[in-house]
This record gives sequence, structure tokens and C-alpha cells, in this order.
Amino acid sequence: MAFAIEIDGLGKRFGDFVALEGVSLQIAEGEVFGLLGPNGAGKTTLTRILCGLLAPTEGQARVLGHIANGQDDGLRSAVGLLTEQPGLYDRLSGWENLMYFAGLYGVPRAEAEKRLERYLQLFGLWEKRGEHAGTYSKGMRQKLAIARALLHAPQVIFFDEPTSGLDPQAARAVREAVAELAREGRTIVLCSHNLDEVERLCGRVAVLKQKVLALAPVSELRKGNAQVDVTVEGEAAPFVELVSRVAGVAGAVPTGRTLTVQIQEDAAIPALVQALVQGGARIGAVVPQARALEDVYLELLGTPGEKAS
Amino acid sequence: MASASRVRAILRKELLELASNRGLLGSLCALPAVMTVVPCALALSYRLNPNDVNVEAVARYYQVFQRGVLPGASLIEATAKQWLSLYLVTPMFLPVLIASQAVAGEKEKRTIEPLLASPATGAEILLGKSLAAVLPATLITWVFFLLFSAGMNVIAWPLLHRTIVPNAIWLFAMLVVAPLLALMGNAISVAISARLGDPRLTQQIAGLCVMPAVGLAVMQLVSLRDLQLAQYGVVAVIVAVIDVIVLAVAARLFDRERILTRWG
Repeated sequence: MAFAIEIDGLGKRFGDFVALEGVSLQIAEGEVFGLLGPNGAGKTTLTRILCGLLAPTEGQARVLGHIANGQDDGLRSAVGLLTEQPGLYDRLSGWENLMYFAGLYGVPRAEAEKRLERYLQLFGLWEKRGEHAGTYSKGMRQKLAIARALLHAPQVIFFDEPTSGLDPQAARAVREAVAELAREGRTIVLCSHNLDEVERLCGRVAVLKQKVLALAPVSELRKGNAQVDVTVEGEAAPFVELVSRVAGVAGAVPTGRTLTVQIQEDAAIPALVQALVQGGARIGAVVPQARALEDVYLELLGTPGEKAS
Repeated sequence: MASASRVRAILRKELLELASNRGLLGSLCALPAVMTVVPCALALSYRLNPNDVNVEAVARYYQVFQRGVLPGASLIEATAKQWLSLYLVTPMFLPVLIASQAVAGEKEKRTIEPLLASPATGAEILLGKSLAAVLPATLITWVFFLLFSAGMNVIAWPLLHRTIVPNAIWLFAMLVVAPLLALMGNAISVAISARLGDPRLTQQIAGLCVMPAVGLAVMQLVSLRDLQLAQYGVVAVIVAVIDVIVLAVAARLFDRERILTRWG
């Protein structure tokens, strides 16, 4: 498998402050990879290192074969970056903003005009291309910034909080654009605290808090300690003790006719059903509930019950 | 090796932004406009009453009174000579207003990260932004210098029947020294801008660097020192050397990591 990004023991310190420590991971070409973590976890620092903006203080990283040491202009040409702030020039039109960056990335004018039209049409900004970017709504600004990140046709694209602060409609348009890029085979790194977004778009995720706390496919992370909602006839409470004795069951909570059973693996479900039937329960429904990524995330961060900010 | 297309892209974008910023354009034109209108108004007042006793008193005070020459005419010529020197302050002062926005302004408006993430090198960014400050500053200086020259000549013609400005010395000063001074004002501002996150602070500190040029102009204004062509040549060489040094320092100070991660 060819890797677009290879990171080995990467660390970054700002004076005494440790932003990143011992980060090692690999991202395959064409993969959509999620980088999760709370504010200050080091997501933006890692992204900036991988885009050639900052130099690591320990370890090394390679992006498309370029060493990410903060000095490689070739690396900056090869990747696209959607920064957390759109960073548009308000006094310039949408078209002028994009043409400026096409010039910086050395895209020939005729080709740049074709690409501009394509992306402005794709993001529904074509009619507004002549208007000052300062008059754009937040969603339009974000979409223009995405178009800017794509203009030079980078093979690796970093999206730092792409839907942050957007209304649901704009956020959906952005997610669709990311999905479209993924279908084109680009390697995408998505930094977000929006777990739902990461879950929808990414194949694998890394949970970061200075170091990598977890690195796995989303489905893998959600495995283990899942739960099953079993609906029985009558009250569910009498079956709690019975269920708790089943191998692979971590606990059960009754709520009316429903028994919410914590299981350590999916294989425990048949034994659970068998035990309930043998115990006299008349089962109406068995609904496995996959563990939400949010629960996994909060568990990894050691803040159960709190929402990630 | 700097890419000409990237430098052009930066220059074009900076000029587009400047052209759309009427407030800044107004500020850039305010000083040279004053330097054009005030001496022309003074000259006009001398021309309207060239033989007035008060005008003669002023001519005697400034030690420009000559027997057989109308005091008003002598004063017009002296006024032109004295005010000319301020046109060397302008090209140094104006780039400070523009270039202080160069890096610190982009940082403040949060537009700096996409620029730094582009393949443009520090030298290309500095060169593009420097040209975008030096070209308008020099152009504005030249336009107002032409207006000043035309105004003074039109006013003086009925009394002197010859043009009084510009002479060879001032053509050299305007065409050679003024752009070099503009480059110096710019280079200092860009260097400071690359280190500070605040465009206003950049303006204030860079503004202090205009002081030597102001001193030179004031010296000329009070006629303590009247530079000749050869001396302007020396000034040009010194300023060119300072330009090279300051630009080299600015390029060394341009540090992507520092610009992105440090504030103030």
C-alpha cells in the first residue's frame, strides 16, 4: 500500500509547551482520514507541520515524499489547506481571491479560469463571483476557501474544521464537496470536533491529545462495549440479574419494558437472547445499538458524560 | 530564485486592495497635496503683490532680496526651492502607511495562513509586497511633484518669464533618490511588520525611521544646507546601500513559524 503521509515519532514544542509528542501514523493514498481532538489537542499544529508551515522539534514526517521540515516549498505546492479561518481578502471579489492564489500556485491563467469556473459553479458561487468577498455569508466564505484549497489540484488536502460555524445547509454542501473529492481519489485529512461529520466521511480516525490516543477505522473504534436494547412483554426489571450472568454482558439497566444491556462484543447477543428465552421472557424486539463515536471519543479523553468542545 | 509570476500575483493583489481602499488612498495623497497647495498659495500671494512693502520685508528677512528684482519674484523662487526638499520626505513616508499592512496587517485580518501555506517563498512575498508599496508611493510623489512644478511655473511665469522647477538637481533627486528612499521606508516597515503582529505599532516604529529624511528636508527648508548634484549622488549611494542591508535583514526576519505562532 502506498502512503501519502508517513509520520514517525513526531513532536513539537513551543518553548516549554508540548503541543505534540511521539505522534506516529500513516495515511494511505486516497484515504479520508479523521483527526479528532479537543481544542488545544495539537490538530492544527500537526496539520501545519504536514503542510510545511511549521518544523517539528522531534521525529519526522513525509507528505507525498516531501520531508515536512517547514522549509520545503515543494511540499507547500503539493498539498491543499483549508485553514480554520477562511482568510479571504474582503476587498477583493471571490474571483480575484481565487485568481490570486492560482497565481501563487503557478496555475496557468487559462487553466486557472477553467478551474475557477468549475469550483465556483460546484459551490454555487458563480453568480456572486464579482462581488467583494466581504459581502459573502459565512457559508459562502467557507466554500470559497475550499475552492481556494483545491485550485492547484493537490493530491493531499487538509481540512481544518471545514464546517465550523456553518448553518446545516452550508455544512451539508461542504460535506458533499469533501465526499466528492474523496470519490476523485484525493487523500483527505479532516480535523474536526464534529464527530458526526467524521463518522460520515472518514474511514479511519486518530484521536489526538498531544499524542495519539487511538488510531483505527471508525467501525473498529465503535466495537466493544456496545449495547443492545431488548424489549420484553411486561416489566424488564426481573430479568436484570439473569442477564448479568451471561458471558460477555457487562451490565443491564431496565426501563419499563426495555432492558438496555451493555455487551463487550456482538458475539454475546445470541447467548443473551437464549438466556432470556430460557428464563421465561417473551421477547418483542432485539435492537443492537452501535456505540456512538462520541462515547468512544469521550472515553479516550477521559471525560465520560461530557460533550467534547 | 524568485518566481516572477508569484511576485506579479502578490503585486497585483496588493494594488487591487490599495485601489479599493479609498481611506488609505486619501491618507497617501493628503501630505503631498498639502505640500503642493501651500507653496502654490504662498507663491500666488507673492505674485499678486510682488512689490508690496510687506513682501519686500519678507524677502529681506529670508535674505533673498536683490536690487532690480521684484521681491515677489525672489520669494517665489525661494519658496519653490525650500518646499522641493519635502518631496524627498514623501516617498519615504508613504510606503510606511502601505507596507505596515504587509505582514502584520494580513496577520491581523487572519489572511496570512493561506499565503504562508502557498509555495511563495519569503523573498517572493517580501518583494511583491515591497513593490506594491514602493510603486504607488513613488508614483504619488511624482504626480504631486509635477503638479507642484507646473503650479509654481505657471504662477512665476508672469514675473520671471522662465521655468523655476525642476532643475537638473531636482530631476535627479526625484528620479533616483526618491525611489531609493521609498524602498528604504518600505524595507524598514516590512522588516518590522514581519516581526510584529500589529500594523499600527509597525507604522509608529517605522515612522521614526522617516526622521532622518525629515531632518534633511528641514535643514534645506531653513537654508542651512543646500545640497548640490554631487551630494545628492552620495545620498543616493548611501540610501541604496542601506536599502540592500535592510531588505536582507527583512528577508532573514521573515520566519513562517514565528509569524504564525507569535502575536504582538
